[in-house]
Amino acid sequence: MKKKILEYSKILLLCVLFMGCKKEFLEKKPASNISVPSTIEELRLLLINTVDIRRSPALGELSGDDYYMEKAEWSGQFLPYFSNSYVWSSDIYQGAASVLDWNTPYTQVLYANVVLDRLKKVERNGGNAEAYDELKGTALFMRAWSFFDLAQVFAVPYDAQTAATDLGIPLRETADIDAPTVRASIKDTYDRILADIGEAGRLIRIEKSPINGYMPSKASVYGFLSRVYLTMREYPRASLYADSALGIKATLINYNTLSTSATVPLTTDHAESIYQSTLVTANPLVYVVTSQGYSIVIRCFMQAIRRMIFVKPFTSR
Amino acid sequence: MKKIRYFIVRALPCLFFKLAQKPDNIPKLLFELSFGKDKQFMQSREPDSNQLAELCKDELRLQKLKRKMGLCCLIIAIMFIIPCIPNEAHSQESSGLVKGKVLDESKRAIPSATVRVLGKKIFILSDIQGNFLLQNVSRGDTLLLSCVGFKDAKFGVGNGDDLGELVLVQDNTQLMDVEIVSTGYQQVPRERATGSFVQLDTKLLNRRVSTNILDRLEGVTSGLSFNRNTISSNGSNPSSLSVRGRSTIFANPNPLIVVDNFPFSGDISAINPNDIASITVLKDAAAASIWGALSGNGVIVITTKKGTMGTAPKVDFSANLTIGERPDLYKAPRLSASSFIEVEKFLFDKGYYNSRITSSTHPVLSPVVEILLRRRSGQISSLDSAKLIGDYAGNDTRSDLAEYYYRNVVNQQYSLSVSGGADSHSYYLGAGLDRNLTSLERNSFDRININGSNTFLFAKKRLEWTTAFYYTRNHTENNGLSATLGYPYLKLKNADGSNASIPYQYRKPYVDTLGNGKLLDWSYRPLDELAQNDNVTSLTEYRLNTLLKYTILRGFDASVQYQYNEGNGILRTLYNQDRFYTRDYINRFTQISSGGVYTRLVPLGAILDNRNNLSVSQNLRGQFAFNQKFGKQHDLSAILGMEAREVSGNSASNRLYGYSEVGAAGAVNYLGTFVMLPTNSTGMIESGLSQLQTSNRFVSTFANAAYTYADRYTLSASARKDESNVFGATTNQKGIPLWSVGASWQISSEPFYQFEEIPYLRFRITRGYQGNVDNSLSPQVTVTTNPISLNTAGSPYSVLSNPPNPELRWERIGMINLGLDFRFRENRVQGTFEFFSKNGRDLIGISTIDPTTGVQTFKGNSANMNVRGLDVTLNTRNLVGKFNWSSVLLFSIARDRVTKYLLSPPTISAALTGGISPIEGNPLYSIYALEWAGLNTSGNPQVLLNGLPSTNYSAILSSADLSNLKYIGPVNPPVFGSLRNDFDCGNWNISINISYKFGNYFRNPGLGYGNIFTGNISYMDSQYLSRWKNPGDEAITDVPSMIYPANANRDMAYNYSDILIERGDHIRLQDINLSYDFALPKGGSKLFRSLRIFTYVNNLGILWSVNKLGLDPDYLTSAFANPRTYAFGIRAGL
Repeated sequence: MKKKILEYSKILLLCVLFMGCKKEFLEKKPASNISVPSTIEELRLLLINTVDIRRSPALGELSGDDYYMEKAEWSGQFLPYFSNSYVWSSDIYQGAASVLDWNTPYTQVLYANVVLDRLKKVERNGGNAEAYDELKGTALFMRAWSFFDLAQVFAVPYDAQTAATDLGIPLRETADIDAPTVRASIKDTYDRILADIGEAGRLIRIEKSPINGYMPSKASVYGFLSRVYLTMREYPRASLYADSALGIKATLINYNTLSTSATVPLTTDHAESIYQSTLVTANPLVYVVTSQGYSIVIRCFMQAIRRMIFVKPFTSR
Repeated sequence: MKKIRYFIVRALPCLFFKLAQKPDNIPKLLFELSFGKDKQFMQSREPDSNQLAELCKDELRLQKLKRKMGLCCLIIAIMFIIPCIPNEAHSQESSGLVKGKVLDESKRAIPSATVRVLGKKIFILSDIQGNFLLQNVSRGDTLLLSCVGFKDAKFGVGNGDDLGELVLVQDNTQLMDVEIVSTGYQQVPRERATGSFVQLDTKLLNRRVSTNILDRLEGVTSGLSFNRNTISSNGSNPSSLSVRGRSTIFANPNPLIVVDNFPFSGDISAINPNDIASITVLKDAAAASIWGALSGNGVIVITTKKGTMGTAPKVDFSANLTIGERPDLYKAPRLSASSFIEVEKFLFDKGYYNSRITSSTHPVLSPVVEILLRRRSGQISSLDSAKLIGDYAGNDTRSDLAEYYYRNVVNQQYSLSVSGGADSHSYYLGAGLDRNLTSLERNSFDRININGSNTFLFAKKRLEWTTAFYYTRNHTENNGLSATLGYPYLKLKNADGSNASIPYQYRKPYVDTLGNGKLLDWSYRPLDELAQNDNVTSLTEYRLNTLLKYTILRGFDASVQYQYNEGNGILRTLYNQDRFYTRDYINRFTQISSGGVYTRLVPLGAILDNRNNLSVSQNLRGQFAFNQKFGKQHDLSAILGMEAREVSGNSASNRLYGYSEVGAAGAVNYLGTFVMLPTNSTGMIESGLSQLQTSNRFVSTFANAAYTYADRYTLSASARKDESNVFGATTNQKGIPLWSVGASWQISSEPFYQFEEIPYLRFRITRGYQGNVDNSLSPQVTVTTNPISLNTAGSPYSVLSNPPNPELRWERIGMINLGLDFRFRENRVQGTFEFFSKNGRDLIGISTIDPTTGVQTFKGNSANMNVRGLDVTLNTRNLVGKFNWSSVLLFSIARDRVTKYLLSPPTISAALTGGISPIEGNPLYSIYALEWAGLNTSGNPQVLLNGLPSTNYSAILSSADLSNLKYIGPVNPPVFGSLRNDFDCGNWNISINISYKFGNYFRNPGLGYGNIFTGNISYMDSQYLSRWKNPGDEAITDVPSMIYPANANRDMAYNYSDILIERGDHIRLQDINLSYDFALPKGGSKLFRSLRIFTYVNNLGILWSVNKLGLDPDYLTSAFANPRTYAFGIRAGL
């Protein structure tokens, strides 16, 4: 009997050992290309996505005067969205299932919030302080960018008199998708935008964006601030920040040197660019309005519009 | 027999030692063993080790593999030497020897009868001649002789040591032997199981001739349906095989396959069907829930053959040859050449091709359009053009395709096995060889299997040790061309017999002049491509399995089992420089400078793609089993155990440019974006690099118990808890166990039961939960980084693939099963009725979510499904005597229904075109239609919109109001089964299987002008010919007029209307097996134990079908139905 007890206890011991290893055994990640982002580098990879985010609503451009459509083209539009926005129709979307002008900027907000939420779990120390601040600043800048984009299309213009009572946009500041959506006032909206850019400006140390202009720099912070103040009709400040931006980078392209016959006269990494965001449609470079009509090429926002460069008749894909 | 023994004792260990010393010779040796020394063959198939190293591009890995293989071979060799030494068990001399001979009433020997000494633990089986020899028998002992089909008999041992002839009397009532079903965890006597099982034995599995083991389940397994047409009709996430219908939406839809007690993670084609002893299909919760989170779609338990202790060596050999007819390409809907030319002329006149003709990208034009163009530009006369076009109109590409692309199937299959055992040891060694030439020219499949197992008993037979190994090498060549050529009138051969070039991708006149002769030839000759295709997949798979079982007390044992499975697949595609792909690729990346200098960015030479998939799975299980009878009435069996499992994969691929046998050309610029010829679009040179590692881990705890009282009442219960690295800690902690309970009542054993006509009657009921998992989801926020796709600055970036979902959990499938088993007198009729209801809960479904959160749709546990059905199995013995006739009827119903789904189809169009877009209350895969309202007077189709005929197609299709949508029925047949008849007369046996499928629907392909205009001609010519042409035609036809420009919504309104719906109901003569058993003297002839020859015909065709269009409802999406095959074979036992 003693022998048997010994045998049982051996087996029991094995089981206990087995249980002990279990936790570690189950912590292995299921695939090498999937991860729960937790390091600064993993989080940075999210923000350098230029495909799913870095997009701005197209509605402003579609209803703007930078291009025109003939009546025949206008009536032959494939999506009612295109024709409705061109004539400032009261119902733009006509019940369309997906509103990219709203959805995509909020996707960028989610990306920024995931980074900001998860950064809180990363310890900022002497070794990583620079990268940490850079990443946090970028996330704040990009969130502010989307909030500002949304406010331009989906909220009334800023009026200092009524800003506290005018309705703005929902300001989501957490990645938790179960958090309720509440619409903030115009004042809160612009306060949030200015606060985020302001903090981004303190965190981002880089003066000029070194590659391609897709990461914000001090120049883009000032440029962005100038633009926000411009829409708030605070012209002195707008002028001040525009000056700061130009103080860092004031390169000009001589448009006479550009080929007006090229399909894409200006690429995204041209000399004037200080930050880039493309329109929410599928092709980031060419905005195809119609297969027979015209396409407009939209690039970095701080550009003078010249029809020869930016508006081109559509010939072939 | 001696030769065989010699082979086992001497030859095999030698062979394995040889292999162990030179492991890289394994494939060669196997080839030698299998094909003889056909050097030619070996050289053409097997790269030498230098080449091999080059392919792997990783010498180190290869070395490691060699070492591993060497070790394996050594282990295997040792395993084989040990058993062969004590193999002479029954000839050992000792005192108290008693011998005898077991015979039946007509004095024929009874082999394998059990001879037991009462009161002692001594027993032996009689040999082929009925002889037995027992040791340690004393005078006065009693021998108990038993054998299936005979009544037990007792004989006393007298003075003599030779008992002489002992005669057993045949027992006709005992013909039903106790069936043991395997759950992969334990062996359960069927009479005591409460769950739902289907058991297929070797005989049934051998009825069909096939390379793949799963094919042999078709038509003989109750409740198992093979879903054809899964590609287009079902949309995403289809399953080719389902047990009792479908009960998941986005998670894994396939049944779990268990081979030798562990989930099989390898390639099912690596299993040799001749090595399989039995297959059990576990259908309900009581049977399957022991497999927990993997069991939601049912479980198929495959058990390989093992040796039997105390039997003389048995050799089994089988060989068969299958010849298949050439595929019939003429059954599939296809527009005729003359009709298509008519369309092209129509389009040409309308100016459809003008933009293509002038396009700066120079897209391809058909030969007929080129002729029309030459006529228009005055290069040829109208007479000439009419003649040239007339020549084309008389062509039919299908005759060339049938001749050059397809051929007869020729499959060869051989298998050889040796098995047997001594007193405390048994062994099995099997080898198999398959060589298949498939119906596509230049496609083939070769397979070599070697496997063996040993079981030893130690420590007074209390310790059992089993080891087994399986080695498979598959060699697949995928060189056939199956792409249908766009134009129905093309010829593959020129008049002079050379291989013809066909219009492909670009206009020939343009690309021919583009490079001033400095570019590579840009023409496409299909038959040259076919001849030069070089696409080979080789898969080497091995599996090692070991079990240690110790009987602690009588009826109580503990066991540890471990299995290692490694599959190494190498896919190699070589595009030599003569291939269109290579020439095109090099030309596209040729840069022409303004000075006319040509620079090739992609070097001349071949392009080689390598892909390597390594998968390793390891399983470890510890288990206690208890099986004890208390008193006369109580029977308790239980198991309790724990297991850990890891399935890891590693896949990598690369591409070499400028490849030749000597090596690859130097570096290629992968980072630059270049303007490509001839279209002047921009692109990058593909690096072809990829790398992915996956690892799924599970830890599970399980237990079950069954208690039987008085052989009449059985109660069963099981529970299992799974934890996995897929879901993270929170879900694992919250996970509730999957469980089952069941009960059965054998009424016929009750004292009050007097109904003699039905001597066996039993009720069963079970309830429980099975699980399922969607590996693509995670409770935490996850990102995916793809090293191939780059952002605008050229660096890899991450995509948010999963928003956080802390509520994520296993899918649970609750099942109720009610069963009734019965048997009439003399087994005239026996059968099973089973009713089941499956409720899938917490199924992964898509729901819409406030897009302000940053995501628009959300995948989570939000859907429910229900499947209800019936499985009936009836075995009848219609005629018994000299001529035997028995039938097996299988009848199953499985109707699924989505009961909760939070995202309804956004538009009518989405519901019609398939994909996964379920509507609550209907099957997951349903056919919907618009209500047809006839053609209007201008030949436009009309469908009902809010009850009125309408031609506002876009309004109907983009409407979200589903009331204009008509539900027709399921895509997959909810009613299916088969009727098998077996006739025996003397040594002849014929078995005919008729299968049927009822209740499903499909769409007649209709006619889509938009598709025809772009060259897709898979429509029935009769539709085209009967289209509306003149006012008034609407009275006689439903086919809309041809209009220009085509209107995709107008096409859709017709093609998705209810007049094109056909019923899928059909009855098919599946197969016939005719066999002859040679009458051998009882107890075996000198050479053979048994000998059978057979012929088998498969896919005989449809006997009856509701649809009269000649379309086979099972092969709608394929170019042709499975061709009829004829097999001839032999099975011999030595």
